[in-house]
Amino acid sequence: MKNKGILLEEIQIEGKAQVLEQIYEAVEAKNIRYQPTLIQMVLGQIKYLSLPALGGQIACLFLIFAMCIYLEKSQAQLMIWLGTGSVLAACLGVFLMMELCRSSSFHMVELEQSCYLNVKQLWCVKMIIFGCLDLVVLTALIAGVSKNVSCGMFPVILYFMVPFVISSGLQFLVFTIFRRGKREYLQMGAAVFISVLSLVPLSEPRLYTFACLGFWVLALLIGAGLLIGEIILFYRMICSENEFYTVEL
Amino acid sequence: MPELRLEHISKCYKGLSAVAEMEYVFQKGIYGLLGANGAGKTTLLRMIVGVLQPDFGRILCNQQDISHLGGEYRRMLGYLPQEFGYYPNFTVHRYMRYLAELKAVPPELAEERIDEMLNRVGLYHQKRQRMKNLSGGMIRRVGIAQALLNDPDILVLDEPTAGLDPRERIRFRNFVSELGRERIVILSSHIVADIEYVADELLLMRAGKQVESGSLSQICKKLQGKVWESLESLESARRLNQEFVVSSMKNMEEGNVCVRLLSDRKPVEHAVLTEPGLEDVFLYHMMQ
Repeated sequence: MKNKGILLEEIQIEGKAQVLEQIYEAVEAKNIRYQPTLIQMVLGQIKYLSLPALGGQIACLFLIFAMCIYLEKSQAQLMIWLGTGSVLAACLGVFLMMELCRSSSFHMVELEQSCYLNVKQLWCVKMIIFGCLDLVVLTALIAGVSKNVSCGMFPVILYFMVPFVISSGLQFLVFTIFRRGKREYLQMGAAVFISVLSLVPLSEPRLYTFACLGFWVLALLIGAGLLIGEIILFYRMICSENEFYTVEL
Repeated sequence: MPELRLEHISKCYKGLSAVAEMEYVFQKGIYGLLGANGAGKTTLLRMIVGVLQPDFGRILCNQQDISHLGGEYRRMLGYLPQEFGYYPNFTVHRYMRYLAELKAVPPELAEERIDEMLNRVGLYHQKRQRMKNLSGGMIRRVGIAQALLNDPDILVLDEPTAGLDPRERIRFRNFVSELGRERIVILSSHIVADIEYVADELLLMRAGKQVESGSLSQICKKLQGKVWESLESLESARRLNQEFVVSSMKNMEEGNVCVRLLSDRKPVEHAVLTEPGLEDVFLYHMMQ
């Protein structure tokens, strides 16, 4: 087939100018907008976290190092290692809640909800930050303790994860049930309650034997179920976009 | 420029109607939302900024439902809530920086915008001060500055003049007049004078419903022939106050009182018709 060339006179100068004008207008109308990535959001928000929440979490990490050094030097028994570790693990969940409560305590929720990065996204970012920090602290705790006890790493993971998930689940429960003003104290109370509760098995050393591992697995599954259920409830609450942003908080 | 359209929006709280069947179109300009406390102004504004969802109806921005636009709609917004919150330990600069991040203001532009906005509200020299050390008026000014950080196309100000002294209020009015040239500004107040001086269009609300809308002159025109002034003795003024809707009573010389009142008929023989003002309109509709 013969290639048909375009003759110069076939090009409509006026039409071309019109089309170019339309393209120019479309380009002008296009808004170039800054869209922060998740990493940028996380890095951006770290700067604004409250000092007690972030400092508390970091202090936990140092406390673990100090605890490991002290208990190692004093050649502490298995029960002391597990008891101290359980109390620390139970306290970890409180820092995220401290941070989330801050927005509502200072009536910032309504304003934050009207921003591009709204409360739902902002709180998810904060949960990611504190989740990562919890992971670091728990890893340090488990690694530090399992190195110094004879029962091995897997049981230590179970012994510390159980108070951690139950305490965190309880923190979310308090947050979703109670109104602003009351819940800050209740959350602290919940952390203290679980910390004390995590010391109860120490009175029955048999619970920390291989034979009772099934009990710990079951407790972890129940605790994880409670935590997941509470996170879903919490997410639904902040997605409801209703009185939550104005009255409830 | 965006167009904001309210399509029969309604909102109820525990069976009580806060906003009912509201219908309106906002285009470039300043809109004053006027109503008594509990008239539904704040609920309406919260629905406009997406903090609350209407139970019925929808809000369209450039023909698109704002609930579908999500972040792209919020990017266009500037909002000053009635109950303006702040982190007391943040400095003014840190607070503005924090909100600039939430509003996705490009980091390279943020500093420039913060300085510009703080300059405009006259708080540039206080930017290193902690929020908790600022006066009520200053905090309100920070609120106005943060609402403008992202150069919004739609600016929503709920009771912006609350806590401002007369000088600051005048300054605020001039500032808002300037802003209204290039965006939609919706401001609510129950202080008539704040709205009267700046708004191009007025919306009067009562019990969640829009009772009147239009320009100041259009609204006032509707009340012509209903506003009267009369010089009365104290006794007679008291009687008129009980019988009619009195918008003002001013003590004059020789113990007389100048009474300004609203009435469909001539209240007393010597009463004279006078030009209605927004305060009269407000009172007229609130007393219905």
